Parts: sequence; structure tokens; C-alpha cells
Amino acid sequence: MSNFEMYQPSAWIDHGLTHHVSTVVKSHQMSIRKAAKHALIAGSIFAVSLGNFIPIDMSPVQVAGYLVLKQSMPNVSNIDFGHDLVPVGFWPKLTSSMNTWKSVESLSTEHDPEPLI
Amino acid sequence: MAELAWWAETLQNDLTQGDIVSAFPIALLPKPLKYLKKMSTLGQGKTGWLEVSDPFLDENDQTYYLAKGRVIQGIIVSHSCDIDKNARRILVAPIAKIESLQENHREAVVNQTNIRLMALPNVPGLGDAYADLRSITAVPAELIHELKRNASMTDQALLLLQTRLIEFFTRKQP
Repeated sequence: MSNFEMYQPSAWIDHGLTHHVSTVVKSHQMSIRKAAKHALIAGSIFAVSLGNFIPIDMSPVQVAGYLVLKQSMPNVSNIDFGHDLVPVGFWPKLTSSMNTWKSVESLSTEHDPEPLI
Repeated sequence: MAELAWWAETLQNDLTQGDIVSAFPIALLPKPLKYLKKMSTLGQGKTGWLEVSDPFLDENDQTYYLAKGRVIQGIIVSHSCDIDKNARRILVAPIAKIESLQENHREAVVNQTNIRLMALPNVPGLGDAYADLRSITAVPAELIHELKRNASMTDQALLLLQTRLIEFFTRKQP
């Protein structure tokens, strides 16, 4: 099962993405919802990198995030939702911290600090 | 590569997910659990609370109990959609200064590698801080709306918060 199936993209589009459209990118001319739909249809594998194309799975949330960031950073170019490759210079900045969460060690509660409450 | 801007230059018009709110009480059940029964027999018209071992239900089938906690700043976790629709409960995660953590815990938090604690750099009026996602609590909306808002997140930071919430609750990478 692909990430897209797991995340039920239609549900994310209907709620998550439309929320971004309505509250985050009101001032932008582009319809994020429409673009995200195209992105989802285009395929579940997108390439994201700084110069190189590194294929990763993008969930609809990431697609939404990407689109929001793209809208707010017009200097990023070469986006074509008709293709599988999307170069995004700043994407690793946002996701770099997430990569380490894959390790089991990072999920351990053994050395967690005391809860605030 | 552009740095992530965390805090908007101006507050959002209305209460929004990611807003930092001023200190308010967040409570936790202590152990042993102590239920309370309201007493009106203290004389001179005074009332008080008696500790009892079993839940004592009031006319609304609700009970009272002792709680402990902190008066602490928080970050709004509830989705803005729900807040816009006059949600009666708003979810808030307590936040505190990074320095309040023991030194051996700080690095993982600052590097955003502790899934339960989200670093919040340079929070206006607070400095480098973190949100404790383990202590998210529901608060009556009317109380939250009375609090002072200290900061609103940028769109990019809000997206990161949402990503962290998905990770925390589902262990799935969005």
C-alpha cells in the first residue's frame, strides 16, 4: 500500500488542503487546492532536492506544505506537476529533522525529560 | 537556503493554531486521587470542600477533584478550523524555556529529534522554548479567548507544527 493510499488523499485534500487554501494562501493568485490535486494525480513519487533529484514519497500534507512554501518563495522554479520530478531547494530544511525520527532510539522514552505538567 | 521564519510580524486577527498564549493553569491528576464534595455546613454562610474517596456527582453528573499543575504559557494545538467554528474546548500544549530542561536533554530538543518535545526558537517574550506534546490539554474556549496572545506562527512554522503533531500522534511521517 502506498503512502497515498494510507493517508487517504481525498480526505486530506478536502480538509487539510482546503484549509490551507482558505486561511494560509488567501492572498495568492494560484489555487493551491487545484494544484495539489494535480500533484496527487501526477503520482506518489516526487523528487525533492537541492540540485539533485532525490525521490521520496510525499504525502498530501507534504504536497500542501510544498505548495504553500512555493507560493511564498517565488524564486523557486521549475515546477511541473505533469512530471514526477519537482526540484525544491528549501524542502530539505523543513524535513531534515524528520529523517532522524525513523530511528527506534529516538522513540524511546527512557531518557525523556520530565513532562512539563 | 532560506531560514525558516517562525513568528509572524503581527498577530493573526483571530486565535489561530500555533498562537502563543500567556500563562494559565494547566492541571494534572495527582496520586492518590482525591475527590471533593462541596459542603455548606461550615457556619456563617461559608462553604468548603471535603475530600472524599469516591466521586461525588453534582446536579450535572459532574464531579470535582483535587488537581495540581502549573501556571504556564502554551501554544494552541487545536486546528484553526475548529476554533473558527466556536469550538468549546481548545487544545493547548504547555511551553517552557529550553534552559529549563536538563542540559543532557537540550540537544535532542533543539535539533528537533525528540518526537515528544517540539523546539520553538526565539519565542517573542520568552526566548528559545519547547512545547511538551505529552502534556496537551483541553481548555474551555472562553478561558483561552481571555488570555493575551503573545505571538502567531508564520505559515511555514505552522506547517511544521502540524507535521510534528502528525508524527507525535501517528508515528507516521506525513
